[in-house]
Amino acid sequence: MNEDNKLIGQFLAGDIKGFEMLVKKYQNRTLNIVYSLVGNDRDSEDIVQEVFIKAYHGLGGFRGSAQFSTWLYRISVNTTYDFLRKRRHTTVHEDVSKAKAVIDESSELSLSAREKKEEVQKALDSIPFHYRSAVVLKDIEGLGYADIARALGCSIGTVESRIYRARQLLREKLSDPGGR
Amino acid sequence: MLNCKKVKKLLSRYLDGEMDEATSRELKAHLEGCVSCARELSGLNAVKNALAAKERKALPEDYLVCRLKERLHSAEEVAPKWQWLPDMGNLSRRLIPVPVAVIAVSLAFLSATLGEFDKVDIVDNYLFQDNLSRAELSILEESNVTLDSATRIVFGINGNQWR
Ligand SMILES: [Zn+2]
Repeated sequence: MNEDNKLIGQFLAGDIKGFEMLVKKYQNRTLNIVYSLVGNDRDSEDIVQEVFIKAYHGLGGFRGSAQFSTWLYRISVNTTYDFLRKRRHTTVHEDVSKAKAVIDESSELSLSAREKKEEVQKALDSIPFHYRSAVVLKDIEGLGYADIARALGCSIGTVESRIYRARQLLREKLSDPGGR
Repeated sequence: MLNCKKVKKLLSRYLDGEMDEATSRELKAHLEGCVSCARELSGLNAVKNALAAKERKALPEDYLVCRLKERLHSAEEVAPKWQWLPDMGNLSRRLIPVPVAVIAVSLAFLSATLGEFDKVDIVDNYLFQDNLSRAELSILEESNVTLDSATRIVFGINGNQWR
């Protein structure tokens, strides 16, 4: 039995520590996936909370047929999608107050280095969600195609073509993708 | 033999190391003789590297656990009537008919109380419906509660709090 399943078992047996360990183990990976999909600190933090609330409620029915991480990433992608869809339909005045807790390491970088990093996120923001989610799971989280297919609920062939298309689109948006 | 059109489609898979060795060898051979495909590959590779080098975010170690505890303990987030959910699987595995029947009745009651619901989103379906046991499913069926409304009841609170 892998470590995650042990922790899940511990949680289901009534020990909340098991769930806490899972949260700590996956919070930053989830955060970076969600951040790359949504593009700002404050919303990412809220969505990540939402993801773990859903996991908390859903784990009672988790049968271990999929890996916990894949299951969690599926919740992450779908929760983010749902959030973005709802945001489209409501007028949000982005009071771009920084998130309460997200540690932004780039604040110590020079202006040009920061712009360079923001450029990558802006390019991601500009491509369709189904391309973005595939390429983020690949290049931000480092999943293999089979796990991405499970997380997105599509075939491996679809994953492959979405990633290819995403990279093509990103290359057009990035002025100098190879440069530093 | 691989032509340029086929090669270009395969480049991402090649880059991600998801290709079998035979095709990989063929592709390499093509790339050595084809400037256009080689340029395409280096463009895609640059994008992959830019994403890999993208800034990573972090939360303070205990922050999220604390926030989740607050939310789960607050009355708004988890009213007592929702709390059976994490235990549902265990209940049915132990085949205790009474509590399950209580769940069914309360679902039916809530369904009647809350009326029609929006189409349930994919995550909620996935979490809830995919993980229901056959016993639970048949109880829902007998109680005339559709899966969608049961799911909406369970996740309604979460689903509405983005505002
Ligand atoms: Zn070629």
